[in-house]
Amino acid sequence: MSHVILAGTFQSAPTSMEIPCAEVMVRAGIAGFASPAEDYAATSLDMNERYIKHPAATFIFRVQGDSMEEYRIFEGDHLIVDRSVTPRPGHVVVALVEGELTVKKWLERGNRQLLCSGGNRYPPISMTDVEVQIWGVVRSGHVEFQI
Amino acid sequence: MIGIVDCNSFYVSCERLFRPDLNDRPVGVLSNNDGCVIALSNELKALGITMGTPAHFLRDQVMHEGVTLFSSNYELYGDISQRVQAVLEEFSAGIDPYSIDECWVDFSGFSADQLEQHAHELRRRVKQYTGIPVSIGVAPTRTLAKVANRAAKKNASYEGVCVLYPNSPRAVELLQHFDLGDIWGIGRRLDEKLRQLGINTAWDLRRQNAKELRRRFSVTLERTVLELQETPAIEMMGMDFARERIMTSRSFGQLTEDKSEVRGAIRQHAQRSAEKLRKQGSLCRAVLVFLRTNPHRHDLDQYNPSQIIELDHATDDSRDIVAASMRVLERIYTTGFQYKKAGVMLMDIGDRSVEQLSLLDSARSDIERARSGRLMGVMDELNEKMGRNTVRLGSAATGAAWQLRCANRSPRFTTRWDEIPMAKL
Repeated sequence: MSHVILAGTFQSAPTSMEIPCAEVMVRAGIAGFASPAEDYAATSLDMNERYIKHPAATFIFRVQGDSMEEYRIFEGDHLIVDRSVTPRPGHVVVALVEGELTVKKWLERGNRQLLCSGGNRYPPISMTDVEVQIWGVVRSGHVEFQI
Repeated sequence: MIGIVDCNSFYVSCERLFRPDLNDRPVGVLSNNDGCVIALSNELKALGITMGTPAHFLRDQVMHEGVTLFSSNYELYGDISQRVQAVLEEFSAGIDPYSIDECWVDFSGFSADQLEQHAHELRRRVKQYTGIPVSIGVAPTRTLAKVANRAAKKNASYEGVCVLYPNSPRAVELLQHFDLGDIWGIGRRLDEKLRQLGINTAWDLRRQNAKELRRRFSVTLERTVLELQETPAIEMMGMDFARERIMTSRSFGQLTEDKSEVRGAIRQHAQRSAEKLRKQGSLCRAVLVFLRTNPHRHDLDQYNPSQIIELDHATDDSRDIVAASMRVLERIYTTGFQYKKAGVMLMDIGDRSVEQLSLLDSARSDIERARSGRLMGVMDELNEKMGRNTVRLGSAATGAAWQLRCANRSPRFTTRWDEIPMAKL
């Protein structure tokens, strides 16, 4: 079972972390000598813009455990959880299972709703037998490698 | 139509967001010296605990009845509050934040059947996005919206939303059963005086002659009566305007990296701001502190931090404002930069007479408030007569004493990456 650790939440107006990136621009207009720099208008990649669609509804969790490795979620990863997404089968979700926030994949098997771990080591949790509440939908995961 | 969105047991709801195991259980949040209870879950209220109960009275309940008490965690509450506001702003025509847990929302332009539906939708969104349950009251005036909000909160059949249409039977019925003292803007003293005149309910007050009450009491009471009569008479800051702010800042004589110099400046700016605040008879609920390096010195590293801290009650007391400013400074100050300028901005400023009625402030006793008022009055008088800074607040112990008091604070999820709580029991 993967336990979830909340590592932080995003501010409603997140600061942007910009990564400079040179982008080739099409030159428009003809006027004298153009500065060579004009061909490369420096833009930036904003990680927040890319991964956080609804700042007010986005929370970041850290995970602990090994039950979701088959879904490429490993201990220590950061997950970006978006509560504005309405959960449905197929989503990886943070769910409240017996008082604990847990990361599972919501799968539909026939008319049974299950919260599943990866692999066969942990049995699925039936959402009808156990009291389960979906806390939020996991949008992406982030892993840092040792450097 | 104007609406007021009020977060239910806001501080408790914030704590529960990350501790869902505490849903349906008695939870309380303590004032910032862990002195008394300033926020209660319904389950805690059901145990007979009331707002302002000293924390040490609850020792037994904590041990035997599964009561969970938290020290206040304003960083968390402030962030969640901003999220709630962001959602309200996204899904409405306009908002005007009123306090950390209340926000006015523009509901104009809806047809009658749309309006109620829209309010429910708004409530659902806030709950889904932020996890915070809210109650919404909508009416032709702010005072009536407050009445409606209370009904939405108390009466489960409204499912969190109460809309009072002009002249509706529901409005009449509600006002007839609405206690005088619960009306927004009716303080205890006024309540007593009006009862002597046989005015006991909101309905009684609504049937009075507003002009007559203005003559006998005040223009404020006249406005309240007009508002009960469905005539808007209380304008806040206006939907499109930023709230009033008081700012004090100054450049240092020369660039400085001396922390004690920066600290001294912030302390002085905070006191000066508090003076301005008292002069205009207002209270503030939040303090922003900022530092600036010199942007023209390209040879130096730049650092321009600023941070806001929410106060647990609206205040004009220099001591509160200085203490809050110092806390923020400790948080944002980083060594190794040459600072050019420092400043303090007081935010979320409201009228004293209105602000003092808000729920959060009731934890502070009248005696305490009166004492603070006298002390600040004397300070201002001395400074006016004998020159600014004749009487100043010293550097009372901030850091250490502060730490000690936050014994049961939940992790500061929003501002500290390293405060990692376990989501398991």
